[in-house]
Amino acid sequence: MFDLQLMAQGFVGIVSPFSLVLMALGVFCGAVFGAIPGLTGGIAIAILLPLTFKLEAIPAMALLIGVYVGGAFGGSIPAILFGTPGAPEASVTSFDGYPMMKKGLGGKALKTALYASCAGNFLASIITISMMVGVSKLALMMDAPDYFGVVVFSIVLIATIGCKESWIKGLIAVLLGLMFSFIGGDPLTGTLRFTFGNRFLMSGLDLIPVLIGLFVGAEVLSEAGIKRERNLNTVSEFKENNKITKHDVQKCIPSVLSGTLIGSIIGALPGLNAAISSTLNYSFVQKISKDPQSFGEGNIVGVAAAEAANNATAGPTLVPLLTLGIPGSGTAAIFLGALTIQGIVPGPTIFRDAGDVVYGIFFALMLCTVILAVIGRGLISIGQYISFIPTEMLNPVIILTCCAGAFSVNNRISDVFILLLFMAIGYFMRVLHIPSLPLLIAFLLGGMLESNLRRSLLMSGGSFTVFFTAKFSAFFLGLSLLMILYTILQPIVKKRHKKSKEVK
Amino acid sequence: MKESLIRSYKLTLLEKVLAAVLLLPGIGMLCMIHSSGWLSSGKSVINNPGFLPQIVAIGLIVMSAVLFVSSLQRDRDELVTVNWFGILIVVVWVLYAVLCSYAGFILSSMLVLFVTLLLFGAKNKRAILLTGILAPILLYLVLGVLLGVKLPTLFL
Repeated sequence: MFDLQLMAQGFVGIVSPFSLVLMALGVFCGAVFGAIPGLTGGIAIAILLPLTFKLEAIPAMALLIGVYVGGAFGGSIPAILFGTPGAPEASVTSFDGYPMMKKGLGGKALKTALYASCAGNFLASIITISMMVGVSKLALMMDAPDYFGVVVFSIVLIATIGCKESWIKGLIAVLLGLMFSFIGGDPLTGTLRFTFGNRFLMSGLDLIPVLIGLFVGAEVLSEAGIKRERNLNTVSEFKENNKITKHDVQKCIPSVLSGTLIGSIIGALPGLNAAISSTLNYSFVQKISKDPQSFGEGNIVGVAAAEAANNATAGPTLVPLLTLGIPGSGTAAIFLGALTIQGIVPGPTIFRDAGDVVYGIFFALMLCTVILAVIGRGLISIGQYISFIPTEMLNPVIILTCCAGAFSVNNRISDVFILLLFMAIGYFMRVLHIPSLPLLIAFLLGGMLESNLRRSLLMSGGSFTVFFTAKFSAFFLGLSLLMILYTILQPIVKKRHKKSKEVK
Repeated sequence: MKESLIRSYKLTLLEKVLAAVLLLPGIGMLCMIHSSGWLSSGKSVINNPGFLPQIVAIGLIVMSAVLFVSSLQRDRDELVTVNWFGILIVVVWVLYAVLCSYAGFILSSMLVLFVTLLLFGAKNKRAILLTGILAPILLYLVLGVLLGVKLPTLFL
């Protein structure tokens, strides 16, 4: 099942002193970025991404995985200390973390968040590698029509369930993403499309400037000219009884285990994110608790449940990316960029072509968790000060780093213009409540969608029945249709139900 | 000036504007596809470089109409804030990208950082000066020297 030689190569690459230093640096940077309200670990990964150009594959992944793991925990620091989550997925942590803080138990809440994060992440990493081996074996059985079905399913899932605001806006984002993906050469014939005679557009829009622009633009530009209020008197003192006892650990274990399972399943599905995972596990744990009323009042189990589920999505999020080449989240899309920089093509043959890197990623996930557990206590003690770093000083430096990073990919100023264009697009999408993730995923998968569609039709001599006779295609296309119908019909049925209730 | 650049608009109004804007790429794509001969260049009606772009172009036109109609039917409107400062910053950085090719990375970056720090609302003059000078130098050392990226240069 597991190739021991490749596992050994991956392990040796990850435990090299250089990789260990990069992982520690990554965990620290990710946690710092995650702890600052307005910034996220995802932004940190996006900024550091172009820097991995000059690194080898395993150290590059080590750095980015470190940032990823650190960022996933970092958001809980302001969530607990100030009731302001550093990232959306940490909002559930604040339900019980902040009340604990108000009772003088902030230290206990932070330690619980730290150890629950580490436990959830570590256990989910083991599930991740098993999932990866299993899904990649399945992926080897898939042909062009099956891939077409999977890509359609991924895009539909992200545009419908992943987009709470409205299916109309989700679909618009998908269409825009596909539109941008058409720029450049046609995937089968190489015919140049929508280049307007510009030689820089002949190879299409580069992934890195689009990714960084969309990720960073909305966050950074919305902060322009707005000063955040900071109350410097809120540096907190913790009461003496902030130690975690054996009884606390026993209470939290079931919620950590359920969080690991839920986080692993949610993380592996495209379009579903850590916020959904932490909400689901929190609700589940509250429902089965003997004392559900205490949730929201400062229950340590609530903090553990939220953080374990949140962090358990980290590894499984990479499963569809590595095995099928389909990024299911913005962060996975950034990792796709990182793999592309290294010349690694994710997909069913990744274990054959770059198995050492895959196992390296798996070991990095586990080791970064250990590193986080070690340096996390230090991060907690400086965490309340990190949150006061003025973003009006940081944001301009972030933009400069992004521009320099975009330039460094191809040594072209045109990539900087593309970055700035997508920063503006990302910003306006946020204003209009249009999610940017469907645009990004559709942009990334547009080429794959088109090439698999046309290859399937070439195989079948132009007949669409190939999508119903292939092994998995009919299943995924059927599921996609059901999701579309559910998304369109559900608000109509809800409205009619509401009207009939009012009439009664 | 700050207050005039941070303005609130009705979401339905912005959605109507977006619907109008979405028509442009949709119609533009259709015109390009039909004038380019992509639809007839392939082996079939579907298997050619223009088929999927045509679907997307029609989709954009249809969705712009759907968005327009849905904005008319919305029960409750909400106000959204548009921070035009952010767009001003994008314009400044576009000028930076143009300037970079002539003045080099470090000098252009210092200049644009000073401007952007002020636009973001930074007040501490010493911090602005230090950040504006040190950040580009540090970035040049990491990217240009350590990682070997060929950043634009003038004489620095």
